[in-house]
Amino acid sequence: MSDSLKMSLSALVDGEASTEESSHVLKQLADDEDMRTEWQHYHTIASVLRNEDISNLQSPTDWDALAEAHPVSGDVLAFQPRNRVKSMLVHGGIGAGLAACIMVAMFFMFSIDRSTPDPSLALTDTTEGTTSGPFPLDDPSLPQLSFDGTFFNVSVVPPEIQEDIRQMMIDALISHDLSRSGIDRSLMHDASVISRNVSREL
Amino acid sequence: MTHAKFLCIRPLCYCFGIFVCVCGLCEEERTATEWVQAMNEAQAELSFEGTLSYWNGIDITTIEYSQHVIDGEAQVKARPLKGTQREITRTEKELSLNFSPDDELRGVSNKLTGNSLSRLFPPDVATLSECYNIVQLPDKEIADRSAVGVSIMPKQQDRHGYKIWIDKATALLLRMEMCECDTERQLSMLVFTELTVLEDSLPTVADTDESEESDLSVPIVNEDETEVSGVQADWEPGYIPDGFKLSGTKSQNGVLFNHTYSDGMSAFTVQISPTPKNNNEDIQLETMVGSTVIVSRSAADTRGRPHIVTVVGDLPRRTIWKIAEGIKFER
Repeated sequence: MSDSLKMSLSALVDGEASTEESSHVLKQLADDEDMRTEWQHYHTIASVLRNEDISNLQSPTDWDALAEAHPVSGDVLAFQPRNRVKSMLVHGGIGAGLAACIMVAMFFMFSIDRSTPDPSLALTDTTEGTTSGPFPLDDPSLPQLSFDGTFFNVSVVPPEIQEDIRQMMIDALISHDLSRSGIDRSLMHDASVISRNVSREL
Repeated sequence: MTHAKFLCIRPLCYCFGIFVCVCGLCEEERTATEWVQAMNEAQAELSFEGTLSYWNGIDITTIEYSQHVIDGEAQVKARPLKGTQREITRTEKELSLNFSPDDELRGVSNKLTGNSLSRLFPPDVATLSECYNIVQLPDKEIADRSAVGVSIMPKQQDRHGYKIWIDKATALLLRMEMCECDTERQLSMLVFTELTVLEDSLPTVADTDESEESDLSVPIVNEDETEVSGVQADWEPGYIPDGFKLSGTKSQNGVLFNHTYSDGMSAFTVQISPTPKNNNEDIQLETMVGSTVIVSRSAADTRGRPHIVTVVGDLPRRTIWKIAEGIKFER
């Protein structure tokens, strides 16, 4: 289906199509099953945006008759012609919805900042005990980083070397920890070596 | 004393008094950079023991930590208070680890046998000031001690920032936070809940128990950079963030395996390995473990042989990727 036909169909659904345009679209609808599906789709979206019940949406049964009748009667379809402002709102709503969907999809595709907490990973003391004295890290406002150990595959890794690559990454991680502890004498990395839980974290 | 003489001497006495007061104040007040310098010295020279809590971005671990300085050499021991027993012992010449039978790292230790570390570049506050803005933060009470806060924020956003709190009395580190420099979101944190400074530096009997052989022992050798450059691998990083220098290398049975670069606060490690099964696929992987980012990507050497470049670091993702993508093969 061409873009111009889609636009005409959209205009018809919104009650904005001219008589000639409507007639043309209706003739196409009579002949094209895909286009009728598209019409149903548009109609459903428009109904949802108008908070209408979509369970009782009905499609015309005889599109040919509709196309024939249309030039005589300008109001042959069950569509509710709307004023320009209402139409703009519908279009705007569809546009905003699509934009939101695209943004959400983009976020999930490209965001690996992983700032969203993983509810499965509670902020727990892995030493399974309580500390003596006040526990300064037991702060509900403390951000929880969602490091679920998931690999962010920028490219597809052949299955036969996946485990080898994972092992390489673990080796590099352990080496980094040891280097920081042994070479930099970093107190933080002494602690990191002690607490590293590779199978859970990677 | 004549009145004229008295008039001459009195201003001199005032000046002397003011001079003494100013000198006294100067001695008391350290700048933020001086506090960091004092902390580095105290961490190397003082004996202490205590309990610390470490949050790695996922879990909190409570650790018993002790350092005994004997004849100028520090011996560090750290082990978790509860849970899987894993003990680390660090001296100037060796890093040793002991694992409980159920510790998953026991398997890793077999592969690390024969490893050795070469130390090249000690952390240096003067170098630190080139890359970080070091400013004082409000004081805090930590582990019943009065602590002075210092913010160490990078001048460029290619690395993380740090906030540390230093014991006013001893200049020992009491709390350290690593955070994103732009949002100041905390990434990891370490804090002492108890700390005792030991006057007597002799370790207890338990600390000196050398009868048990450690599960993993990695010798540490102090080398100068020229020695290591002589056995330099056939690759070099095309991009290194400002201020980072080769701080150490790790060899396995004499073969150079890893390079670690540090700016005194943050560090990254580069590891180059042949691609398993000579696979020529384009591989690009990333994962995060706590606040540590690991990136692996495929790259061919000058003879076209496929390799996996792995960069691990406590740095922002974009910096790790930039380093990984900048690795150049030579010869």
